[in-house]
Order: sequence, then structure tokens, then C-alpha cells
Amino acid sequence: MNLRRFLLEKTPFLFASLFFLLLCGCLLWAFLPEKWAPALILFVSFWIVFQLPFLVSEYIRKRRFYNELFQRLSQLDNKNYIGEMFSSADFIDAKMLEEIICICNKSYLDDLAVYKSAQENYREYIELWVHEIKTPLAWGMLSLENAQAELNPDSYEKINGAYEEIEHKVQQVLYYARSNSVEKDFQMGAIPLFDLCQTASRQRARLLISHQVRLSFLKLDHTVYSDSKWLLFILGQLLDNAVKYKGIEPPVITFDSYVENHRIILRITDNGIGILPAERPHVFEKGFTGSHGHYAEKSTGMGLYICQKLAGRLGIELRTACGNRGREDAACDETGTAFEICFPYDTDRLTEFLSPDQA
Amino acid sequence: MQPPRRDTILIVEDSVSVRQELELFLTRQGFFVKTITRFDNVAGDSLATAADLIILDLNLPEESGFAVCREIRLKSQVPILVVTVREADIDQVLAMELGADDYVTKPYNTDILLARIKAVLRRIRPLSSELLDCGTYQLLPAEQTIQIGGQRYPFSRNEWLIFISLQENLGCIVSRDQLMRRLWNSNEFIEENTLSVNVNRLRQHLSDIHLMLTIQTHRAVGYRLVARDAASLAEECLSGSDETRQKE
Repeated sequence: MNLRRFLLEKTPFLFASLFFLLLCGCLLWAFLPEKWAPALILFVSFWIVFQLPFLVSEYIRKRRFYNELFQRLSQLDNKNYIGEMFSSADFIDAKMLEEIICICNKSYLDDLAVYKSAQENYREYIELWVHEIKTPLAWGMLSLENAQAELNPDSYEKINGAYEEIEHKVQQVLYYARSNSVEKDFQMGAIPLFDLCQTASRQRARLLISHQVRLSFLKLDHTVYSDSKWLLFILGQLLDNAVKYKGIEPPVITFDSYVENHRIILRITDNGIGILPAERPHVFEKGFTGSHGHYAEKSTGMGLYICQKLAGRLGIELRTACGNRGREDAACDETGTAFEICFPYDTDRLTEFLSPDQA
Repeated sequence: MQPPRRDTILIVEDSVSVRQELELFLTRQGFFVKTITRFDNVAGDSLATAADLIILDLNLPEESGFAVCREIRLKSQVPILVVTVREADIDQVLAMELGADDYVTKPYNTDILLARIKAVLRRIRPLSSELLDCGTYQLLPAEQTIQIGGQRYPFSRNEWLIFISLQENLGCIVSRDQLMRRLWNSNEFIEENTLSVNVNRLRQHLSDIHLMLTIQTHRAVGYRLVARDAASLAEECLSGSDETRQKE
């Protein structure tokens, strides 16, 4: 609030005062023709003495109030709480403004609470549903195992593969629900990268074997600190993608790690159809399938989106990289995809804080 | 292959269909299986069965699996393997703290479930005593060694894993994918070609130690371990080796 705006608002009052003083001048001039000038000066002085202090004090009070309010507003992360941040004011506009904002805020927060609880209920339902669907899944898988002798091996493998795929998709729903929730239900621990990659490969053994994928584990001697379940989910999605977008050559998936800028980078490379350089920035967007996506089976474009969200929650970075390390993006050929998971390196020092039996 | 003594496993699971299938599966794997069908006194009923291992579901109708777990543990040291759809870490930690020996989430890979059961059972028994008598020969899983008439023949890791998979399904065809998965589950991420090479090496090895078993190749399907009698010996000479060559 500045002086100009204040005076602009006071224009009618100022005009009225001017008109009043002019009127007084005219009357004085009519009734006291010889002494009108000193009398008018006296009137004007009276006006200045009795009116101006009120104007000035009003200006100062309002200026102080609004400036403080705007400053608090700019400092607030969540602007909705401004209703709670009013300082006590002694003029009616401020009090009414506070009342209005508080009423609006309350109504807004009530609405928000309705949606929050609706979303929370939905998430709870999804988690419950995922748990419920696992019982028939377990039952089906066991029945299949028991009926193996009566089935021909090919059908057995196919049905089993289908069950595993259903299981992984159900898992995806669960992790999607979790990636949106505010609560942190992960558990951090020390994870040797070599074990992590092997476990992830074992979890996708059927899929990888049936597509005759060759695995190659290069230098993986670092240990990172994160939640192993969430990481396994992310790696599982990357392996699924590597198989889904495999090329004509026999598929090869390579796990490797290196250190860069105080970070440990886990790198998963395949020799599949790859991602067009122009589309690389978009692969983590919700629903993005890319032009290569049309050649392969229909994809939802959710897998990598969920991975990215989970990575964000875990405080690690998931990014695509050039198929051939060290070369500029432009020089990347289209074949092959590389994903990199970047872990903060400093967490290595956690070992210093953990007692020996924990470490 | 039958273990020297059949271990009794108790299944505490309220879903009838899962219970029946699990019972069938474990029975076929050579265990003696008991189940309970009433859930008003799970801990008491469980202990009454005197099982060697209890497979406990956490979501039970009458009381929580956690409570059952604690109650059993108060009175007995019987191994408890918790099997559940819940996969939150906190459930796992709680179950282990209440005395569970291991934890498997549903739906489980049957290979993994079996491996966990065997691991828990092995923990309550000294390893060295594990010698599986198969008639003319004995297996020493801890040393990956086969013993014939007092003579010991160690196997390489891959050979051993393949041999065990075939031997457990004696007379039945085991698919190549199934063998590969068995090796992968032991962190041997081999390729198709390596499998063929390993099977051939194992076949040679079995022949070298004069074991009366041989591996038949079923093209595009898998392998089968069969008794080597005079007839199949002759057959193998005529066709089996040809098949093998074609496979490679």
C-alpha cells in the first residue's frame, strides 16, 4: 500500500472537504466582506488541525497492517493459512476482511478434507484389494504347480508366465497407490548393488529366460542405502521394459556401476530398440508410450512414471542415459536403452554411525 | 527322493482352496502334512499336532496371526514360517520379533517357498547329518558330492544343481526353462548354450563314475534322468547321442 493509492481512495472525502472550505469561504465573503481572508485561514487551520491527524494516522495504521499482511503472505508456503496470520487491527475493514477470509478458508479446507479423505479411502481400498487378489493368485499358482504333471510343459510355462505377469501388474497398482500417499512406509538399509541386481534378475527369471536374455554383471561392488523393496520394484519395471522393447539381436542386459560427482550410479543397459533422442526427456511422463511403443504391445506408459515418483520419494535420481557412455547425446545411436539410478554417495558414511553389528 | 524321515508340516491357513493346494503340493514334495480347520484355538491345536514346522497365515478369522505366533512361541520352539499377503516391512519385523523363523509373501514362488521350508528345517538339524540315501548311491548336498560304494565324487556347482533338479523328478521330463530357473535362483545366470554344455558335461561325469543313471534329451522340451539299464544303454548309443548333437 502506498500513499498514492491511499489518497486515491480518499478522493471523495478530500473533494468534500474542499467543497466545504469553498462554501465556508463564500459564506465568509458574503457576511464578513472585510475580514473574510483571515477567517478563512482560521477555518483551514482548524480543518488541518482536526482532520489531518486522523488521515495521517489512518494511513500509517493501514500501511503497517497491509504491508505486514503481504509480507507474511509472501513468506507462507501454504497461502491458505493467511487467515490465521492476521495481526490484531483496530479498524473495521481489517476485521471484516479477516472474518471473510476465515469463512472462505474454512469452507475451502472442508472441501479439501473431503477430497483428501476420499483419496485416502481409495488408496486404502486399493491396498486391501491388492491383498485380496493375492489369495486367489496364490491359490491359482499352487493349483497350477500341482497340476503340472497333467499339463503339457508348454501350456504350463505359459500359464505360469501369465500368473507372474498378473502378479507384477498387481504390484504396480500397489506401488502407484503408495507413490501418491504422504506417509513414508519404506525402510532404509544397506544394499550391496550386486545382490540387488541379482535379486531383481531372479524375480524376473521366468520372463528373462523365456526371452533368452543374456545377463552381464560388470563392476557392482558398491553398497547403497535405500529401501530394497522399492528398488527391486523399479529394477523389475526396467527389466520388463528391456524385454518388451527388445530388438532383433539376442537381448543382452548389462548391470554396471560407477562413481560420478559424489554419487554412485547404477546403470542398466540393454541392446533393444532404444528411445529416440527427441523422446528421451518424456519417457517418465505419465501415459507416454513413445513412437517405438507402437511397434511393441500396447503399453500404459505408467511403469516408468511410477518408478520416477518412487525414486523421488526415495531421494534418488532415475534418468535415461546414452547407450554408449561418454558420448554426447547427439552421437547416441538409436539402438539400446540405458537407465541410471543415482544414489547419493555421502550416505556411505552411514557406516560410521551404525554400530558394528548393524553395519 | 525321500528324506530319511518325513517331516511333519502344519498348515494354518483359513482359505480352503489355498490350504488344499498347499497340502497337495507339500505332500507331493515328500512332507507329511497336517492342517487345522477350526480357528478358535489355533495355538493350542497347532501345538497338539506336534509338527516339525508350522506354516502360519497372518490373516486368520478369529485371532491375529501375530497373537498366535507369540502364543506358540511362549510354549514351544517349533519353527514358524509366516506366509501372508501383507508385505509391509513393519509386519515382517513384527512377525520376526514375535518369534517367526522366516517370512514369505503371497503369492509365492513354489521353489522359493520350498527352499525356505528346507532352510528352516535344516537350521534345527545339524548339517553334517544330511545324507540322502538313494539306494545304490548317497547324496551329500552340503558338499555337492555323490557317494557310491564308499567312493566320493564331488560335482561342480552347476552340474550339481542340474543333477539335483533331474534327480528330484526322476523319470519325468524337466524343461530347459525350469532347469535354467533353478540355476538362476542360485545366482548362476547362465545362458541356453551354457546349459547344454553343462548337461553334456554332467552326462559325461555320470558315465565316468559308473552311476546307473543317465540323462535323456527330449528335443525342444527338456531332459530326463532315467535308470541306465542294458536296453536304454543300447538305445542311447543309437539315438540319444544324435539327439544331443542336434540340440547343440
